[in-house]
Amino acid sequence: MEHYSDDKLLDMFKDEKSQSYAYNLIVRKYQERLYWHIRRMVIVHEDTDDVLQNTLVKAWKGLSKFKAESKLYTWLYRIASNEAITFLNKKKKRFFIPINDVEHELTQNLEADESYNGDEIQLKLQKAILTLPEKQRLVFNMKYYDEMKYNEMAEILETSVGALKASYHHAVKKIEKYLTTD
Amino acid sequence: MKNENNISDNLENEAPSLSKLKKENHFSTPENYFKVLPEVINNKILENKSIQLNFDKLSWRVLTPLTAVIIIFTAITNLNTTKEEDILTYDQFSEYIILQEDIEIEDELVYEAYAEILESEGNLETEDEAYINYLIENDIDINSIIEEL
Repeated sequence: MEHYSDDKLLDMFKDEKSQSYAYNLIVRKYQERLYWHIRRMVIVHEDTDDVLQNTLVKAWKGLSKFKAESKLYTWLYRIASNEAITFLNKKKKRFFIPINDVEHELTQNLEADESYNGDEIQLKLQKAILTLPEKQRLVFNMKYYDEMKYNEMAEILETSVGALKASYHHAVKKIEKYLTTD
Repeated sequence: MKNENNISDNLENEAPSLSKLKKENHFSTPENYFKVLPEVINNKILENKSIQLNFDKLSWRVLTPLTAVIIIFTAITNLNTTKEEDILTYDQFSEYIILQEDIEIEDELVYEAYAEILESEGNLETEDEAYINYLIENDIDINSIIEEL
């Protein structure tokens, strides 16, 4: 598969003849990063698949209006993050589950997930991450796993860099505390 | 790279246990998931396009004329229907007439109207009985009237 720059892909997308091909290349380029970003939030593969498909269909609908003021992947990340949060909120409303119980349910899903093959300490780390509030979890995952820069995260989450630094700091402290207690 | 080192340094100080863990991905996906997904997305987009196209066609050919017909029908129905609250009750009408000083009504008409009300309420004797009662109450001899005629 040929690797095109985002600018080139966006130019190709503007041309109706190559629009479908360009979008196919965009999907291939970003699908894995978006998948893992969503998977860490919603845990179960089937749910991740639903959220990712919604994300990519929404991105296709909005791409013609996309202005290259931000990078393509930060824009895609923003849609994916919003979709993941919306999915979790819907889950709470649909089953009248209190906020804490959603995290509890996600932990149970994680323990029962056959496609998860981490050892005990890795499982404990995942459980620790699931104790964080949704937005703090997003911040932690983006910084810790995706190693994103704060200014990119600020663009995606529409928050200030200072707020993100504080959020990540709190998240790290909570996780450390969880890991060091039995 | 420098950025990554900074993160690691900070983590070692802030969270020693966390910093010792490897950043590995322990989740997995079904086989060929990422090979198939672009095709799945493509199909979904085509489906979306087709629904959009069908809706556009439908809206021009069916929905627009249908909406126009509904609007016209609703307008005609509303024009022909007199609302109940628009009708004056008999009492309201009578009160209105009585209060209008400019309107003069003949006594005979008042009597007829009064008779109609009583009749509708079932309190009225027949017309003949009413005349007879009137004559008796006012002590009028019916023969004298006949003679005058």
